[in-house]
Amino acid sequence: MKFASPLESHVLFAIGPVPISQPVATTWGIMAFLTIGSWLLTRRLALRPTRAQAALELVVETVAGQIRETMEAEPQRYLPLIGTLFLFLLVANWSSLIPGVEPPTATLETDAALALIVFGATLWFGVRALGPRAYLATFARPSILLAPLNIVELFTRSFSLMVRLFGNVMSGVFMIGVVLSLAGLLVPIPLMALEMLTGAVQAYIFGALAMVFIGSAISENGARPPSKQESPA
Amino acid sequence: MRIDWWTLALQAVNVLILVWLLGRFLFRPVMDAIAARQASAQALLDEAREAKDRAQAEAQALKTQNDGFVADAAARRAEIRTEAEAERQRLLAQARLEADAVVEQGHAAIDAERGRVAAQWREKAANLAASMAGTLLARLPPEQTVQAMVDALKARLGDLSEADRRSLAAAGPVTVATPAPLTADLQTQVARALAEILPDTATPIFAVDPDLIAGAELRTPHAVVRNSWRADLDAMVESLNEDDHARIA
Repeated sequence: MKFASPLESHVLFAIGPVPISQPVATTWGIMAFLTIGSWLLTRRLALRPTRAQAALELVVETVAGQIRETMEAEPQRYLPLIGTLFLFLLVANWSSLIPGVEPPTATLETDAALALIVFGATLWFGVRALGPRAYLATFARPSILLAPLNIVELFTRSFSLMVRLFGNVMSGVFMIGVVLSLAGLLVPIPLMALEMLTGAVQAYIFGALAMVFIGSAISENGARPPSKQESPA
Repeated sequence: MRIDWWTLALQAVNVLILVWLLGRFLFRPVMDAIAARQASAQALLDEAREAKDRAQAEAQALKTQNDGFVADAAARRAEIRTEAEAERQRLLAQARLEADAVVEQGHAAIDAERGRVAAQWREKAANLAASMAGTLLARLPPEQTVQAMVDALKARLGDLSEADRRSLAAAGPVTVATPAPLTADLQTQVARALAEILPDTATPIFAVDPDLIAGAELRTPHAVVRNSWRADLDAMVESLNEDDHARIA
């Protein structure tokens, strides 16, 4: 049995000059699923919530609480980005449970796009919160001698964000594929359960690290927010 | 390894679009619903707090009103107690005055009864003294006692003024009353003595009156000259009664 390289994307079709690869199509499906599901769940919100509304509010309020605790800021401005990253990663990682579907996060381009968005959001929110000069000044803290290292860290931590997600998800998918090809139908089930756990943890870690990076950017103290520390997975 | 830049760009755009879509259809509606519920809960809390404040204000007003009622009731009780005490004092004084009057009346009645009893006893004592004197006089010869009394009667008549003697003689027939019958000699002596003192009078009529005890009385239709022990005893009893009345008064 021959496996496709996880480092290469399979182009399904092209729209003019733009090739549409399999991860992009899967992402569109996930987008449709999340958008339609959100619309269905939120079209009849009421003061006295149903069970579905209460569960939805619990998820949203939990993410908002995490933002409030980690970034020490009001969550309204950051909730769409952080919440979307978490939900998208969770659904994308768990999409591997559907037969024939490869999670888009198992490809390097998707993870790079997500890391690139976090990188841009860090700059955007940092400049917006502190102003260009003050934001640039945060790189000279605690010493001007550390400015090069802080600038390098700005890129490397986004790069590590990408590599961490890609490595975890891709390795899980690859391992399940190998075991499935060797042992049959039921043997990979424990590995698939483990992959669910790994996918949820990776979604949480990616969202948490995004919060830490943006929180450090909007904090006048510079590189790190006062209460949270970056923790690699 | 080869990076598909189209895929990378499309995925970045996809995620940004998804951020907008979920912000539009998920996070904003849910956060708005949560905010609306919090606002509603806050409104309910504010309303409850206002209701609580109103209730406390009303309770305070009622307490103040109740305190006023209590104070008013206490003042009225004190006023009624004062009035009752004054009325009690007035009734007590009136009762004391009435009791004093009753006691005074009782004392007066007791004194009057005592005087009446004393008068009765004096009368009885006079009667007893008269009876004892009569008994003792009965042992003496009548001539001696009658003679002495006739002499006393003559002296008594002699003490009268001429005008009195004249009016006494003109009053009519004269009766000489004695406690015992007079002998003929004594009657003659008496008639002669009366003729000397009262020359214009007729012959006297002699009568017997044992109540006189001793002595004699000269009686006309309009006047009486008393000169007997009975008259003396009556005078003494009368004098005692007058003294007693004067002492009580």
